[in-house]
Amino acid sequence: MKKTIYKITAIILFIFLIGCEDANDLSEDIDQENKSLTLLFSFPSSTIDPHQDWMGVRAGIAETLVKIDQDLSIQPWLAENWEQEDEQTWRFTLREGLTFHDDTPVDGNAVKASFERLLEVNDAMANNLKIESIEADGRDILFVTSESYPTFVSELVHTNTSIIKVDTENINEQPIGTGPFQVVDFTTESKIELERYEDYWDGVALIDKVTVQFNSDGNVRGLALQSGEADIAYHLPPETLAPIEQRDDLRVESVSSLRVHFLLYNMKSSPLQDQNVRQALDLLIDRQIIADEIMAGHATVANGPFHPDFSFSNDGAPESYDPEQAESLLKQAGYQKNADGQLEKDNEVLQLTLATYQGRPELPQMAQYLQAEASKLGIEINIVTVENVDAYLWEQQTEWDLVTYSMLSAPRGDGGYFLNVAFSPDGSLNPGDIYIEDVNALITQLNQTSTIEERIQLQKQMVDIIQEEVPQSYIVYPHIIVGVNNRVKNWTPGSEEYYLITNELDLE
Amino acid sequence: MKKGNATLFNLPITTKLGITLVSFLLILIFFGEWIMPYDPFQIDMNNRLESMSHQHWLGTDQLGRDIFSRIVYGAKLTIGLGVITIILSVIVGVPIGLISGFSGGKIDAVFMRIIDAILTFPDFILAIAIAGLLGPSLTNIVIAIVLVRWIVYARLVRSQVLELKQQEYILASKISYSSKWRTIRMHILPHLIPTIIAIGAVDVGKVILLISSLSYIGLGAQPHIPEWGAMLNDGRGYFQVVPALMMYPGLAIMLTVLIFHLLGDGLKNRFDIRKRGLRK
Repeated sequence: MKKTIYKITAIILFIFLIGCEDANDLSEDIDQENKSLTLLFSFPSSTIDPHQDWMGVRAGIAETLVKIDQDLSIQPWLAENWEQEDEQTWRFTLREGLTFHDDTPVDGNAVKASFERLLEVNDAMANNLKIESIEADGRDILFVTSESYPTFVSELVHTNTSIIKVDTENINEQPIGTGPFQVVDFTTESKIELERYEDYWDGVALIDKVTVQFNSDGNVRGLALQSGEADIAYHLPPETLAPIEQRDDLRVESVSSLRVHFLLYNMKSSPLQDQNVRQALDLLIDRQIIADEIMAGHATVANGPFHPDFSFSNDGAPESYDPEQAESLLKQAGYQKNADGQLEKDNEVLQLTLATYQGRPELPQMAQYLQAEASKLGIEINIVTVENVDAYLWEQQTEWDLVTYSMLSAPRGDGGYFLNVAFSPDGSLNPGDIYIEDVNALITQLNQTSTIEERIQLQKQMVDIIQEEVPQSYIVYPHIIVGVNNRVKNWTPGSEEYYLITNELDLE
Repeated sequence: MKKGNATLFNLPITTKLGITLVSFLLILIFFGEWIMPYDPFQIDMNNRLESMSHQHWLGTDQLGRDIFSRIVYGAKLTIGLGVITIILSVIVGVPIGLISGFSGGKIDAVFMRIIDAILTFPDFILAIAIAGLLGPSLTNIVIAIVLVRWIVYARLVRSQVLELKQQEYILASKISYSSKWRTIRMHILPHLIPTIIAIGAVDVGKVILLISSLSYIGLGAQPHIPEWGAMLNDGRGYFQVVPALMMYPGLAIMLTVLIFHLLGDGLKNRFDIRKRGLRK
């Protein structure tokens, strides 16, 4: 008996030793022969088709004709230069010597084919781009839009307009683009394995391999960074930062984003059709406390959809927390307290369903905060936490009354895109069926306007109306919080959240 | 094995402990409202993440709510739901087991195939699947767990009935023209009740674990309801900074499950379940 125990112990120890040795060998191999980096991202992609998902550009697989720089001005990328020939016509000239990952050259026809596929597979982009025809001639591509479209070039910054090779199979998993990295393997909603493309036009990448992993749990992302499993961990929740800040080998980057966290009201919900009720809820949000406490200072209080740094943002002060005013607005709307202390109108209790999601952990906390504030006034808010918020909002439009949401409101340094998708009746971010006549008229006008000053004026006007009518309550502009291992060089998160993996990214 | 004539006073120590602690839990459940120092839903953003103090015995959570009050309130919810789930499972499972065991034949075969089908899945996985389909809410996880759990009682009762059916007194009852219902009520059910109670008590612990696990992964209690599993989930983000947020609800779950196990085990011994079916 004893002998057996000794034997077993010996075997276990032996296995342990073998295990240690293997692991050491492996890590040495990686260090010496190739540099490999792991980036951990928050929202899982179910496809990496660059025409439908943002990961194409984010992971350095595909590229667009033009890009934006840190100051949000438009710079050439795959296109060397471009000119506007008339109100509806643009001519782009490609760089010389561009090749796809399979070494086929990128010419005007390839770009044309790529755009034709985009318009076919992505309705939202097709609506947005308003392209009528495309002509290719050598390295030149001529776009004609269906109407006068002054901001057409800035729309081409959108990651979905990236140029990919279309005559291949399996674009969902193995897209062939022009970027510094090519796809080796993709596991849906789990990870993308990339290796560098040796003939990249802008200089071969400094690291050999990149793994992009997805994990929608912010705490897990924080822990993975601490354990060294990830070198860059995106969108860390503020509460996970303390242990990371204490470490010498890790750093936290916090940059202001183009994003806004807000409440989106469902205009189909009968109590919320009343502007007084929406305004009352808006007044119940203590934005300062949310920015200071829930966001731990990694946010700026919002006074409209756009960050105050933008010239087209609202000049007014943020709505202040004022429950008394909210109460009197609700009275105005005809709500009276019943015997149970609940607000009631025509024998109907004011009961609202607030949807939220864990993807951004601060949102459920804001939801609970609002729930508590609302219950003080007798409004009953029921919170539902959903997995896939977009699917829920669109597929169950009658179930929810309001939702905590987050959106890039000025993705390309211009509010036009957000105003279009969030407030047009057929907008792709309008599951609450918002329709404000004045805003709609202004959107049409904005889409025809090219001079920057006029656009700024129009957007300001719209923001004023939006702040007046409260179809959405803007809460804070969050910072992008990224945890980075100090061995990562030449890398800072950009506020645009477009270009995560580049050829310049390096490891020590 | 203890003799059948044990009274409340010569029970084994573990059972006594179980009973004492269960009464303690009952006090928490029924008088919780007077014990809670604060409103468990009261958010106080100026006192977030406080550690233990005179004002807040177990500190406050990420929204400044008193953790002790939330745990006390959560006791009613978590244990109450556990008990309700078991009662519902018994209501569904026992009649099916009785019918199945007593009538045999085709009816028995049909029920047994259904049970076999459910048994092929691990119960937790199946509960997740059902709760996921129904959508996240406490009512739905109770439904999901009952759908998974009734088979335990149905199988238990069926096997006992099959055994009892062979007894002479059942034959005697049949000879004296008792109806089926009367035979079941007078001669079978009384034998089953102790077993069901003992198994049920242990099961309450298991079911509380199931409910908490489902709430922990976001399928059960929705935010602001202080169900213990949901509290664990809420505190997850802070476990490196303020481990108390996860520790106390975790301890509460552990102790409760332990208490119900002690009670259930004690009851099993008390009713001498393994032998009972074979004796007259």
